[in-house]
Formats: sequence, structure tokens, C-alpha cells
Amino acid sequence: MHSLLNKPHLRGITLTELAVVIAILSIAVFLTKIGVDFFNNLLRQQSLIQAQRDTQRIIYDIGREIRNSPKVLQVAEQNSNESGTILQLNSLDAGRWGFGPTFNKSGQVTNQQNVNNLFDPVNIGTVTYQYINDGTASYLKRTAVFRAGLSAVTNEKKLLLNIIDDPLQLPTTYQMFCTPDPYYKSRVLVEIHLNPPMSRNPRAIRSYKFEAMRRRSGL
Amino acid sequence: MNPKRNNNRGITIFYAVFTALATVVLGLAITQMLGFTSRQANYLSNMDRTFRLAETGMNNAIGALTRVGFSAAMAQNQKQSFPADGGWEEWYRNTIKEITKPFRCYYIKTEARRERGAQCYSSVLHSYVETSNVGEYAAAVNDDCWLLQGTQFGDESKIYGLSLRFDNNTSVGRAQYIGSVNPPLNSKKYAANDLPAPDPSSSGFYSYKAQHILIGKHPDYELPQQLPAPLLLPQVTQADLDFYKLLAGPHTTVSDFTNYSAVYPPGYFGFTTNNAGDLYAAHTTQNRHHVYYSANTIKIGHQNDIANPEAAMTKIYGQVLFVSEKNIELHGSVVSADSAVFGSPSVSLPGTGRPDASTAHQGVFITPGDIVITDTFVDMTPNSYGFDFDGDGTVDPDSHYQVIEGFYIAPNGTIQPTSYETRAPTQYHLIHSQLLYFYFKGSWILNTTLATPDMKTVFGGYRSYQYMPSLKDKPPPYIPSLATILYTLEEVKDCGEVIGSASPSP
Repeated sequence: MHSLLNKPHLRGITLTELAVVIAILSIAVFLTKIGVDFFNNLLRQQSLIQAQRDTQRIIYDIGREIRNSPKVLQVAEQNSNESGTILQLNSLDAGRWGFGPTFNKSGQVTNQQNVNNLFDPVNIGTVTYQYINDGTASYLKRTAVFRAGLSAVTNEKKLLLNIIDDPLQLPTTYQMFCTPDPYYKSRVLVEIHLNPPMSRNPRAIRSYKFEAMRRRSGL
Repeated sequence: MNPKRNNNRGITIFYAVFTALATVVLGLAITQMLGFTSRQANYLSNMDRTFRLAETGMNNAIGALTRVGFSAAMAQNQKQSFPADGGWEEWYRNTIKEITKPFRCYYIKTEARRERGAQCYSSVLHSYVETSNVGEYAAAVNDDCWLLQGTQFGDESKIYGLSLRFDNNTSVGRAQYIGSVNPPLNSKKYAANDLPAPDPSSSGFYSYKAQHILIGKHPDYELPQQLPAPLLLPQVTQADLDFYKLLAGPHTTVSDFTNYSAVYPPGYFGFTTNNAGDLYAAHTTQNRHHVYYSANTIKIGHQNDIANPEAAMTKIYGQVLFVSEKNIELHGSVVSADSAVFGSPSVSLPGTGRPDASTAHQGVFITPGDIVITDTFVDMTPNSYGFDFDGDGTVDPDSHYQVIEGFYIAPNGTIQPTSYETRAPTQYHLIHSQLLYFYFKGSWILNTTLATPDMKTVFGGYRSYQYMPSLKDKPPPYIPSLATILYTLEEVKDCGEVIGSASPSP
């Protein structure tokens, strides 16, 4: 009696199936890797796009704040090593007092007190954008200080958290760079260099620039 | 039935389902990502465009305010719609109101809306704008503005330049700049930095003034003031020219005034026959007619008469605007009828007693080009004293004093003197260095003062610059104002909240 293993049919199946199983497994692993890589790339791209979107939106908001500002107080152009790049400006509290007068049918202002409050110097706030790297995180810090009633109210936000790269690794690069135009003091160039760590090439810096012309003129 | 086949079919179905699911997941992820990206990019670019539209509305409103005044601005078209990128966009001027508290200004509210497909973007711009008389500026230059030694604009005037330079012995009421100032602000040459200054009536004031730059009024002298943003100087665009052409009505046929020794407004109440020296043949009795308009270069003034220079001057009676689509050429002296040159006589104003009458004697020259001072002023008659200044054996002409008064608006150009050195005989050549004097009284709005040759070269004898206070106190009609934007606030609103844009008009 032939042993089971000596049956030509069974011996053949074993070898063939082994090869097929190995081949299938290899293909499965290969396809899985491709799939995982693909999804990773997809997620990475989505994160990158979100970071870019956030940067653009922030630059857009900064530009709007510059245009709306009664006075740009400080535009400090410093190397990021000093972690001191600052944009500081006055801001009217339109969110609280409204944007302007409203009129009744006879043309009289109906919200005079709010308009007075809007331009009252004690109600004019200060908004500061500053690049911060505290050792654990790097970010763009927005600090808005407005007076509400008798006391000042401070609102702080951390923007672009850990998306702006560590300045120590890029000592010659400005992370947030605000500069007044050397000739026209009214222009402020805001430039953010973004280095998203999730990017395929971690050293690939993306630059975002915005030039805001202050609208206010005169005295 | 073959079970192996059934098994294969099961595997195939499984793979098919798996592949379909994977495809769906992938498709959803990609679609979401692309959709997300597209939405954000669209939002930012559309909002940016919407802000620009609102800003266009604001500029339109300011333009109307400064050009035609508050009442007429209110009556002008308040809305503009355009088809754009498969949708439409529009700006709408919601409000122009004069407010007095907390400060006096015009409040302008403009709204903008942009629709593309089902998406709608809108914003509102709240602007607080002050308008002022541009005639308050003795000089406003979109370039370097240099007050030469001896320039006494006086404490009623202002000057403005992107950068300013001062010589000693200069005075002005207020000096404004954007870029740089020379001497620097800490210089003791400014009276404000070297106080106390002697009283102007004291004997020591003259020598003090000769060494200093006086800005403001005694004893409160100031330093030049750096503005946060450039002033919006009046412009002479095609729209402005069209506006002046409309104001000129029928008075668009004459461009050569060189034979006139007197120029009156093209229309004024009480006109019956031409006054002496006035050669214009189409006067009307309409007091509102102050503008001579020409598509050609406007020429005015004629050659000096060394025996009677005052008679050779072209006198301007009333407020007369000369608007040229090209240059304006000054061929001689052009002065106000009540000029100090004649001892400041009292001269009646054309059209007095009726609306729109002239309130001062002022020539106003407006051009998108240059103000050209030609080389035709000097009379080559040898002087009566027989002087041979250059020692060439021939008697030279006498000294000539070219007097230019009025308001010169060339915001795209300059004042361009012409050299006499191309003319024969050679006596002309020394005119520059010794015999030609320039007296200016008035105001100019220029793009630049840099011209070749410059005033110093052509009028080498002496140059004097003064301000004409009547331009401030009695401003000429139809002159664009100077707009100062005090504040603007951008407000983002939902489309439904934008009041003025209720009905799209694609």
C-alpha cells in the first residue's frame, strides 16, 4: 500500500498549492502595502492641504486686520532665532460696537453711543501676532486685548501649531516675516514660511506672502 | 454540479465586492479631498474679489464726493453689476452720509456680492472719509519736494511730498511726507528744535529765519510730519476730462490765448461786450461757465515788453479753469487781475451777485500732461543802459521777470521750463545765468518736480515761490477735493443679509 504521501496526486497538490499560497500571500502583501501607502499619501496630502488652507486663511485674516487697523504699532523684523518677530496693531472693536452708524428714515443716527464707543480711544484694542517657539511647540500666537467694561479682556489663540518649523533647524529662515515697505510705511508684507512635518519632503518650505496696504491715510 | 466551481465563484464574488468597496472608499476620499480643496480655494479667492469690489464701490463714492460734492454724489449711479466667470458680481453704494460725531466726516457704506452657481459671497465696507480743499497745499508732489532757499509759503499753506528737502530760510504752515526728510528730524535747522525762536516782529528774527526752517506759526513751530499712507491727490483721468468737457459746454473751441491780455470766465452774469484785452468771441451770461476746455495744447501768455512789463502780462479776471487734454504752455507772465504785481488793486469779480459767481481772481490750469514754460517770453531788445554783460561787444537784453500765478494741476506731469540755449543770437545764452527771474505765487499739484533743464538752470537769476491764500479761503469751483480715508472696516456678511443687493442684475 502506498503511503498517502507517496500518492502522486497529493504530492503534486502540496507543492503547487505551496507555491500558489506563497504567490498569493506575496501579492496580498504587495497590494496591501500599495493600498496603505496610497491611503497614507492621501491622508498626508489632506493634512498638507488643510495646513495650507489654514495658512492662507490666517494670512488673509492678518491682511484684513492690517487694512482695518487705525494704526500699525510695531512691525518687528527679526531673525527667527530670536523668536521675536512681531506684528502689533490697533484694532477697533467692531464685533462689540458695530461697524458704523445706522440711520432712521429721517437720516438721523440711531446708534450714536455705539459709534462713539467704536472710536473711543479707551475701546481701541491691540492685536499682536508673534512667532513663538517655547521648546515644546512652535506656533503663531495671536493676542487680542480689548477693554470690556472696566477691565481688559485678553483673547489668545495658538495658530498653525507645530506647522511652523523649529527655527533652530532653519536658522536663516524667517518663519513669520512682517516688514514695512521701506518707502511706503503704509504697506506691510506678511510672509509665512510653512514647513508641515507631514509633508513628503520635510525640508520643503512653502512660502505664503500677503501684502496689505493700509487704507487709512492722512493725519 | 462541481463544488470547486462554486468555490471559485464565491472567491470571485468576494474579490468583486472587495474591489467595489475599495473603489467606493477611495473615490469618496478623493472626492472629499478635492471638494474640500476646491471649496476653500474658491472661498478665499471669491472673498478677496468681493472685498476688491466693495473697495471699488468705495473709491467710486470718494471720487464722486471729491469731484462733484455731496449732493451730486448722492444723485449719481449707485450700483454696478457685471457678468463674471459664469456668474455675476456687483457693488452697491448703500450709504453716503455726513456725520458729525464723534468726528466730522462722510460715512460711506458699500456692499459687494458675487455669485457663482449656487455659491454666494458678500462683504460690506464701512468707510469714514474726510474731504478737504486741495488748494490748501502750496505744493503737493508725488515725488521729491524741495523747498529752495528763500521759499516763503507762509503759515497758511501745506506742502506734501513722498520725500521732502528743505533749504534754510524757508517757511510753510505744515509739511507732510511719506518716505524721508532732509535735514533729518533732529536737526537744529528746524525752528521747532531750536527754541525759543525770536518774535517775528523783533529785530533778531530776520537773521534767525535766514538760518532756519520755519514750519507752523510762532511760537508753536512744528517738525515735518510723516504720514502713515500717501495722500490721495486729485487725478486727471479720462473720466475727469470728460467731466470738465461737460462743464465747459460750448467753450471748447479756443486753445490759443497768447494774444489775450485779459481772460474772463467764458460765461458770467452781466456780460454784454468784451472787456479790453479779452478776445474770446463766444461769451455767455451763464455764471456757471468757468471752464475753457481744449483737446489741444492750451497756450497762454506772450512775450515780455521790456518797456512796460505789466502791460505784457496776461491778467485773469474771476475764476477761470483752463483744461487741456494735452499740455499747457505758458508763453509769458500770467497773473491774477488783483495781483500784488499791480499793487493789489480792488477789481470787481465777474458775475457778482448771482449764484456761481467768481469769488476770487484765479487762473486754474489742469492737464494730464505737463505745464511747459516756453522760451518765448524774453524780449531781445537791447537794454537801455547799453550793458554788455558777457563782454562780446554787443549790448545784451535787460533782466526779465516772469510772473506765474494761479493753481497748476498736472498730477501726471511736471513743470517743465524750456532752455533758451537753443535760440540765437547768443545773448540768449546768458539769460539763464543772469537775466531771467521767476516769481511764482499759487499752488501746484505735480507728479514730480524733476525736470531737465530744471527751474534753477533756466531761471538762473532768482526764483521766488509764494502761496496764494485765496486758493484756501475762496477755492475755485469744480476742483477735486483731497480725500483722506480716516478708517475703513470690512464686514463679512451672508448674502441674504446684504441689504442693497436684493435683486441680482446680471
